[in-house]
Amino acid sequence: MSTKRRKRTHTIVALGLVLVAVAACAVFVGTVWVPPGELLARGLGGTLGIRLARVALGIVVGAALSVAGVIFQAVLRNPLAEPYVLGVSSGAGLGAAVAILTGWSVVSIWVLPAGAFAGALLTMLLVERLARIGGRLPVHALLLAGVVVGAICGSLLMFLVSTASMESSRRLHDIVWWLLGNLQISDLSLLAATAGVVAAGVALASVLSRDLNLMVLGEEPAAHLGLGVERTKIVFFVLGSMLAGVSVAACGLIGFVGLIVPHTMRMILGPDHRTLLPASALAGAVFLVAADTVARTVLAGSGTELPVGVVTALLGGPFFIALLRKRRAVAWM
Amino acid sequence: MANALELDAVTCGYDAREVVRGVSLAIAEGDFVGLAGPNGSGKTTLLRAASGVLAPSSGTVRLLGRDVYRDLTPREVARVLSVVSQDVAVDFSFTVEELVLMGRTPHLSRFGWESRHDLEIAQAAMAEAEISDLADRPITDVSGGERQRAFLAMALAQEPRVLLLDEPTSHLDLHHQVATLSRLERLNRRDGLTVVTVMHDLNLAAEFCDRTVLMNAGRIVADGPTRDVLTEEGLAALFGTSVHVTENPATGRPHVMLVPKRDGLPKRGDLRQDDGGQND
Amino acid sequence: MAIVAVLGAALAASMLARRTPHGATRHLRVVSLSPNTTEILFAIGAGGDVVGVTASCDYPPEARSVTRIGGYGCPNAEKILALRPDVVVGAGEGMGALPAVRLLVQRGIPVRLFEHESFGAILELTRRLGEATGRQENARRLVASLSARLAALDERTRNVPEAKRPRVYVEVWNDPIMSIGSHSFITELVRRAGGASVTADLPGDYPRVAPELVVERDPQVILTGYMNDPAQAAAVARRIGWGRVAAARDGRIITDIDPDLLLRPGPRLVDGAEQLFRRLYPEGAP
Repeated sequence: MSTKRRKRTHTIVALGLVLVAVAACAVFVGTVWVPPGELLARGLGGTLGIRLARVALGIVVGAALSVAGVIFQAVLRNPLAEPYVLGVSSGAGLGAAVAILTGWSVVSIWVLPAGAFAGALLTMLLVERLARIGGRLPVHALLLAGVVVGAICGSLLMFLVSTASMESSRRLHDIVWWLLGNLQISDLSLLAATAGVVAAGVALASVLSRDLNLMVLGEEPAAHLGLGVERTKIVFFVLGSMLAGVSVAACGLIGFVGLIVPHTMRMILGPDHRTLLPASALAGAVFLVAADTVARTVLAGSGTELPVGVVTALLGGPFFIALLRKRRAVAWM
Repeated sequence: MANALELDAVTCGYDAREVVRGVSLAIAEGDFVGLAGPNGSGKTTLLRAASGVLAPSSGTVRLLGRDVYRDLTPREVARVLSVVSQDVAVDFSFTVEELVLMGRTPHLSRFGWESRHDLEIAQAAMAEAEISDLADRPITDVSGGERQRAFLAMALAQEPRVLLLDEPTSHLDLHHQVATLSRLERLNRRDGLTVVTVMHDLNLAAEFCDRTVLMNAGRIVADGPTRDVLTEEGLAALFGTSVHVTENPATGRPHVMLVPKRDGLPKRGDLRQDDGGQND
Repeated sequence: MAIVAVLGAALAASMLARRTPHGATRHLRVVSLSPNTTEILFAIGAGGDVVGVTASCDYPPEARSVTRIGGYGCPNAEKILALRPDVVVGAGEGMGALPAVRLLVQRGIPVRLFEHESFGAILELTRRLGEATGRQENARRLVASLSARLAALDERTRNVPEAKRPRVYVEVWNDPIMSIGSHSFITELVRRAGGASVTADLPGDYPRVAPELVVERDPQVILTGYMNDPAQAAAVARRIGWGRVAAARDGRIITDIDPDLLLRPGPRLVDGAEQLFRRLYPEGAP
């Protein structure tokens, strides 16, 4: 339907413009006040470079988490689904904690993200294996397996944290810092790798987004409309887990984005995933860049920054409540 | 010419529990078949096996001569066969038109959007199902009967040659019960649409289905022209209750009447005389 | 009354016996809860009295063979009690609140905890450890020698004008980036060594800092307190946006000073200050 396609294009362009505007503002604001003219005059090195990298990472991870949220909410047909529901975050947290507590994380800037990503990957494989029943991947089994594996990883993490001595107190601080989620990025190649994986993932998900419309109807109706349901589930499971895993590996656990942005965009734009998915990617980018801007400036007096995960939680909750009250949400989807 | 749908010694079920046992059924193109039987006799399971979503543990299912589970992809099946299920859970807020348009999916290219042609077909399907005026309503905002018609429209938008329905009239009022089945009859006679429908209401089945298949405990116990299958003895044995079969004077089709047993039950008037109006 | 007097005399006598530096009737049994108190105890000659140390107590080398009683910040009360200490010493913020320490106090074990966030506090700590172990003379001598060296350093750096002091950035951790605040003894160390910490105005002892703050303040020298590998230190210079920082451009990222000389508030801190001074002023003070 050409009107629908046109509407989608307009929405995406509009959101893109909002993103550019928000990103532009974000770059001129931070812990230290530098007049915009001076900042630009100095060129890409220095503070401008730091902020551009932050904004870039915010765009990438905001998009990744939102798309993962859209995917999991559609495939699991559950309004509480979000990027971390299938245990990926707990596995990544465990991987990161191991990297930190063994002291390897100092060796190279890649060790921590690699550990986190490895944890995410292993969790994904474990959940898939556990949820397999008779050659199929039933949705309720996926959810259950994800929650169980997540809980086990979480308790292992707690065990590690509790037995670490104060000698590793700095390491404990690291773990907590990492668990709160932050967008500090210091390595260009890490940023590039994350951006590459996310771009590919979001592009693929957008192309396949029509299948999510069918999945939402239910597995049997979707099959009757010609969808290869089991294969689709696996593709989206892997896609969503990779997007969540790479986000967690790069930035720690930034919560709320993947839950709130899909719901908000669905309330505004409707449930057609061909629009919803790319729009959520852009909206998530806007949200995270905005939240990070707040995180970078609210404590500027003491020269420090808040972890962005704190801001998303504080911003996201009330915003969502306000939206819920405005619209009579009969069906959540 | 191949049969529209052919089941050959199909056994299937859930979690190693057999629900359908060794069923063989041949549906020719242009047939209008009613499938009836007591609860739990395997009707819905049979429909699932026939529509390609429940692979049988033994036996084959053929659609227009080709093996559904070995030779056809779900997309190929969906271009020819569509299904109206019973009571689809609706927790999504697609509009009726969006829902009906999803019926076009098997005919769209892999990454394509719907064309004007697809929109026209969807609109025609909605007109068939008499829900055109609800096109922009979210599916969650319509009544049960309207929802059933929306799903029928979606199935029709698939341009099927074979249509399977599971209790398509369970939530409909009298007008819409008759209207829906008349519609299907028209599509069957005019366009040659093959229809297989599970029916609870034996009289509706009798009016519209040329052929009736009766199932019990996973097996077919009767299969043939409706008049020959709907016998008093057969139905009494199947449902465990007495019936009286006559003819509908208006249409000449079989009509099944209930004969509940009332032996030994006091007549309604008697009690009043005994206890002075306390009972009613 | 008489019994009290007799007991009191006996107690005094036994304490006096312990306090005799030569030929004591029995050794004092000391448990140390922190690496710096361990170092100081050995430095004042009381190493023989030390019966329990933490897993981080690695200096002097003799300390490594002493029984371990847990980690720094995480001592094991049972192990300590099993060693029947006469006194338990430690330094560091929050030590008093540790459950193990509270347990020891409850059991009546004398626990002496000290401050160490300035050079003054460290010297005082040395004196008090001398008193607690009957090594007052050794302690006095150590304090005198350290003070003399500090004074000599002060001579050369006290009057360096602010503008001439190299801007120093000390990073104590990299993820999150943490530096030294106004309350840290390392800030004082940098000052005494003739430098000026770019984060000296930030509150607290080891605050998390925003990277752009460091970059804006353009340090000329960077010290990493957690890694000694020059290759890894080069990673600091490669951080996004840090390439323009003076220290990165000039390659003045110091990795070859033993971190313990800068991070452990003990006698070797003076060594650290002296070494840092030499690195900050390779041609001598202005």
